[in-house]
Order: sequence, then structure tokens, then C-alpha cells
Amino acid sequence: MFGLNKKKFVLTIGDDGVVLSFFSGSRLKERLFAASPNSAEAQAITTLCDRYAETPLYVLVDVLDQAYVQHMLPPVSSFTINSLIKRKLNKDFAPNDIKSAIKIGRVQKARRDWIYMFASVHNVPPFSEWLEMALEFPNPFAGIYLLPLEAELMVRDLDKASEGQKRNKTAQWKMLITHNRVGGMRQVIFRNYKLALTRINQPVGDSAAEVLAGNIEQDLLSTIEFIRRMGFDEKEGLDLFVISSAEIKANLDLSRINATGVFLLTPQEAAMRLRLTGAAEEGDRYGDVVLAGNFATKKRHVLRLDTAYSGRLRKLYAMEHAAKAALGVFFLFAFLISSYLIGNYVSLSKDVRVAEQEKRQNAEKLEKLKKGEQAFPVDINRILGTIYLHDQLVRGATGALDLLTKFSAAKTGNVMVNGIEVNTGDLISDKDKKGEGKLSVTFSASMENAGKNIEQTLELTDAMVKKINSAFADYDVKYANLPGKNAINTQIGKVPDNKNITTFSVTIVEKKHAASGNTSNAHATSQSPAKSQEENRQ
Amino acid sequence: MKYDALRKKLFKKLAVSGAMVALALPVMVYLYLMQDFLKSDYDKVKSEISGIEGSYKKTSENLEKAHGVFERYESLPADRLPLPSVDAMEVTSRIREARLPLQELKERYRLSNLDMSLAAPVELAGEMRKDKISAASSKVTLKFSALTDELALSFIDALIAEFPGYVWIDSLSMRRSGVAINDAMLGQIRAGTMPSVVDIMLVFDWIKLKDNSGADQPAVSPLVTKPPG
Repeated sequence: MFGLNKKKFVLTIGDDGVVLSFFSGSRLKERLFAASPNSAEAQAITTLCDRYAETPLYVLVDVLDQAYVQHMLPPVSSFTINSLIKRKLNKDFAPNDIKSAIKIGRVQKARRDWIYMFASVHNVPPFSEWLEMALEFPNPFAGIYLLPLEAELMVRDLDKASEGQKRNKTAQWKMLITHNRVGGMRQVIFRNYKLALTRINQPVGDSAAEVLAGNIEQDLLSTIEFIRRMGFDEKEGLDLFVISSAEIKANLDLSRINATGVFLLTPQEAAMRLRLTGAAEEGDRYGDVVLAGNFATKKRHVLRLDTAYSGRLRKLYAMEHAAKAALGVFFLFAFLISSYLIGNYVSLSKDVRVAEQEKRQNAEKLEKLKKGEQAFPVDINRILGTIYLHDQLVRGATGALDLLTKFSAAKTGNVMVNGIEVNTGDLISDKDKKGEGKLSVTFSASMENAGKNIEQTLELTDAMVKKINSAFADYDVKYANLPGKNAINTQIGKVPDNKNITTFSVTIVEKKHAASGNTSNAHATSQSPAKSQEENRQ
Repeated sequence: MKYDALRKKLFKKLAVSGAMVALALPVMVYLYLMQDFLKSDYDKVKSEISGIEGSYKKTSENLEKAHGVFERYESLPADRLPLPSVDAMEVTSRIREARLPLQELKERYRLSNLDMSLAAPVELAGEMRKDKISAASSKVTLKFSALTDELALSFIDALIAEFPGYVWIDSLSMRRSGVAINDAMLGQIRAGTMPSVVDIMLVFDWIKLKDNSGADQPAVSPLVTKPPG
């Protein structure tokens, strides 16, 4: 939640007081020590925290009253393991203790039991007093962390920074000894970077460097003896990191310890290896700030603990963060949408202006044209409509008459027309639709049998039919009661003699619509009489 | 204590955030509506431009066409020019108008027994309507007798050419009496009475152009009349 914040307060609480480290990234900005909550130094800490009220506060615990117990838990599902842990924590520790558990792994054989390390801190004075004070600081509370557990990250960093100086690069055991102002001489032993043991030794009485160095040597030997019972074997390798004052470092003799790597560092040297700026100066004797600095540079930590109250506080912070994030997303979205809409609006405004101008110009052009139209002696719609309809009507008007004229020319001399029936269908009479009728003309005619015999009569008939068919090639021509072979089925045996007159009919139907004026010879032929008709009228 | 203060602060922040969101949303809606309105305006103007361009093109084309056909229009006989809407649909004026030319044609082609019936004009639709000009047609039925079919055809030919407006033949039936011209007939002719050899029934649409610039008139009920003579 606060991992991305560059500025951090780390309050290291020990049995001998607290150290407040104020980091901005890896740079130390301020460090303050207070021995008791009621001291003037504690007031200075409060003032500094007040000044930077938005900077999150981490509590790093380096007190004696810490307990670490490794437990094997039955192989329940990962959904139910948490409730099992909670039950066990409540059972194994006092209600007032601050406690949590961290997963170490699972047994690889048989039941695959869960391996968890249970960690707790006794919430008793002076630690509880400091914690209470810290929780009331205005700063966002980022959680309680245990120094021995979080030291794992520092050991990894130191290990990496010291790779070139080690005899065995695969040492399984790492030991960190750091002389802290608030806690004393803290020893943390890791096996494969997992906490195996932690001890704290608080020197009493004489604090001369030689004495302290001697104490460290003695403690180291005891610790190695202790871890030997836990399975330590020199073959597995042991790297030793000691952070102490330059005086202690000068007096330390670790030749009796069979380690694969021994790194004696002053706080300043350790800070340099960890790339912390200003975390320690040359004469510094304690490692608290270096540990806090390394902790502050990490975005993720090993295990966070909470009291009921700090848990509630952090929930509020989480809600605040979530609300901020949601609001941020909303406003980002709103900004993008609004920018788009405003951009669109501006662009559209410009387009509308251009379009309005174009419209004005076009309207002016049209106005000029309309003036030209008005200057015309007659309304042009009247002229165009009249001419259009005139052309249509003249074409249709003469269609039937054309057929009559054409038939008169086509018939042979011995044929007399007795009756004519013209049908223009519904060419124009239908009010609601364009006419689709076909012009048809039926001629009732009589033919004098001029032939001297049947053969001659048939020849004359054929000649007439041929002539009519040729004249009306674009029309459907139908004959009825025609003498001769064209009506062989009905006429055979009925061919009249020379003196008789035969009546017959010819129906000529146009193939296409005559009124539309776009097709057939009928139109072509119909136009000439229409034009001549127009000319006659003039 | 800190928790209560923090909670209060959080609620306050949430309230302020809510208020900001509540303010921002209408602003966004307002912006959206504004640009939407502007878009509608833009579309409207574009549509108007398109309409003006269309009008310009049409007017321009019409002007060009009108220039091309103006001479023809000017040369059209008066009876083929569009009539005012009321006149075109008026049946009695048509009867009056038809009398004289029919009488003249009857005499010219020696017709007899000429009967005419004329229906009220109706306005034609479809192809027979163009802008403000349309065609009003009156169905005319002519029954008459002629001495010869040539005379009858010549009459029809002259009717189409000379009758005011447009004549569109709907149907024509012609029947010969089958009697050859004899002395009795010639006597009748000399006496001024034309014998009937061919009987004709001609149905045609008598069409006149109608100017619809004015108010349309309702169609008049069909009438039947007989021309003089």
C-alpha cells in the first residue's frame, strides 16, 4: 500500500529506546534516538512525524521478547490453512501478544504437511508504550515488522555485495551480528535464507570495545555450538557478517571460527555495501539505522504484524487509498473523455463555421441563378413541363393513324378495308398509373379473288401477307379467315372461285409500349406525321 | 482517538470526492450534449448545403434546357399551351371550344349523323405530370357516318392535326354498309343530304395541358352533348 512512497519513517523499537530513521529512497534525511516515551527526544520524534504527516511509518521491532516457533500443520487445503493458523496462534500465544505466521514451505514427502513459522512479540512496556505512541502519530501506519525476519533481506543484499570475497559461494548458513543502539547485540542465523535462530545479548556494565569484542566472540562460539544441535555442519558453509563499531572491529578475533566468509563491517561500510546514502557516518557505532535503511528501500517485506487497532487503522488507510485510486481513475477517465469532447467540440465548431460560410456562398450563387431564372420571359418549369408533355402527347396521338396509313400502303390492290378497330388500351386513360396497354389495330378487309385458279389465288394471298408482314416487321401480325395456305387448316376446301369475295381480318399489335416514346419503328414513324401536324398548325 | 479522527477524515474525503464526481458527471454530460448538438447543427448545415447544391444543379440544368426549348415553346399554338387549372378542368368551355372545329370538319369531309359525347376532364398522372404542368383528359365519343372510308380517315387525320389540344385515339370502329354508290345516292348528294356508306365510332382522349401553379379544381361530372348541325 505504501511501497511506492519514496519517503518513509522507520521506527526501530528496542528495549533501550527507539531510533526513528527518516529515509527518502535510499538517502537518510533524519535520525533521532529516544530512550523513553516521555523524554524530550521522544517529543522531537513526535514533532518530526507531525511535520511529515503524510509519510508512512513502519515499526521495526528489535526487543528481547520475541518468540519464533516452527510448526508442522496438517495438510489441509490452502483455503482452510489460515483459519487453522489463526486457531493455533490464539491457542499458543497470549491474547495480548502481537502474532502472525509465515509459510516456510511444505514437507516434500508423505503427508506434505505445512511448515509455518509462528512469530510473536509480547506487547508489554516499554514496547507497548512506544507502539501506542507510534499509532497515534498522524502518519499513515504501515505495520509492525520483526527485525530478525526482515534481516533476511539485508543478509541477501550483503551476501550479494560480498560475493567476490567469499571462499564458498554456496554456503547454506548465514549469520548476521549487529550491534544496535536500541536492542543490543543481535544475532540472526539463517539456513538457506530462512530464519533458523535469533538471539540478543544486551551488554551490561563495562562497554569497552575490547570487552564487547570478547563478548561477541564468546557468543558466536556458543551460537555455533547451539546451531550444531540444529544440524549445522561446517561442510555446509557459514558466512558471517558482523556490523559493529570500528573499535570493536579492531579487537575482534574470529580466527577460531571456521567460516567460509567473514565480513567485519562498520555501520558506514555496511551502508556503503547496501548503497545507502548518509545512513551511517565514519564514527558511528551502531547498526540500527543501516538495518532500518535497508528495510526502507524494500518494496516487499517478509512478515507484517498488526494489533487489532493497527489492523483497523490500516483498513481505513486501505479504504482511503482505494477511494483515491478510484477517484484518480475516474478523473483520468473524465479528463480523457472531456478532452476528447472539447476537442471534438472545437473541431466541430470550426467545421460548422466553414460549412456556414460554404452554405452562404452556395446560397448567393443560387440566388444569382434564380435571378437569371426570373429574368427569363416565362417560368422555366412551365416551358419544360409543356414541352415534355407536348412531345409525349404528340407521339401517342398519331400512333394509330400511322398504322392506318401504313396498312393502306401495304395492302395489295385487290384488298378493300371494310372496318377498322383501333384500341389504344389504357395508354393514358388510367389516372393512377402509367399506361401499359398496347396499341392494336384490327382491319376487317375483303379480297376479290383475282386469280384464275386456286394456285393463283394462293399466290396473291401469299404476296399480300408477305408485303404486310414486311411492312410491320416490328409488330405482331395476326390473320383470321385468310384464304389459302396461311389458314390451311380452316380454309382448305373453302377456297372461293374467281367471282367470290373473301372477307378476312388482320390484327396488328405493337410489341412495345407506344406512348413512352422510346421504342420501335412505330415511334419513329409516328413522329413524322406529328411533326408535320405541328407544322400544319403553325 | 486517531482512528475516529481518521474515519471522520475519510468520510469527509469520500463526501468531497462524491461531490466532485457529482459535479464532474454533469459537466461531462453537458460537454457531450454540447458537441452532440453541434454535430446535429453541422449535419443540418451540411444537409442544407447539399439541398442548395441540388437546387443549383437542377435550376442550372433547367435553365439550360429552357434555353434549348424556348423557341419551340414560343412556336407552340395557343391551344397547346397550358391552361389555367380551372379552365382545363371545365367541361362546358370544352364543349363550346369543340363545336366550331367539329362543325368545320364535318362540312369539310361531308359527314353526317355526327354525335358527340364528352366526359368531364380528369387529370392524368404518372408520365403525364411534370412539375407544375399536367395533362387533363376528357373522353370524347364521336359517332358519325361518312361517304367513303378515305373521307372518314381524312377526317380523323384532320381532327388529330387541327382539333385544339391533343387527340389521342382510344378506339375506332368503322363499318361499311356494303352498298355501292348508286344513282339514288348521287341524287341524295345533289340534294345536300349525304348518304351513309361508312358508319364510324371514334373514341378519343381530348387532352389539354393544365397549369397547376394555381389551385386545383375538382373534376366536373361527365356531360353528354350534341354539337350543332
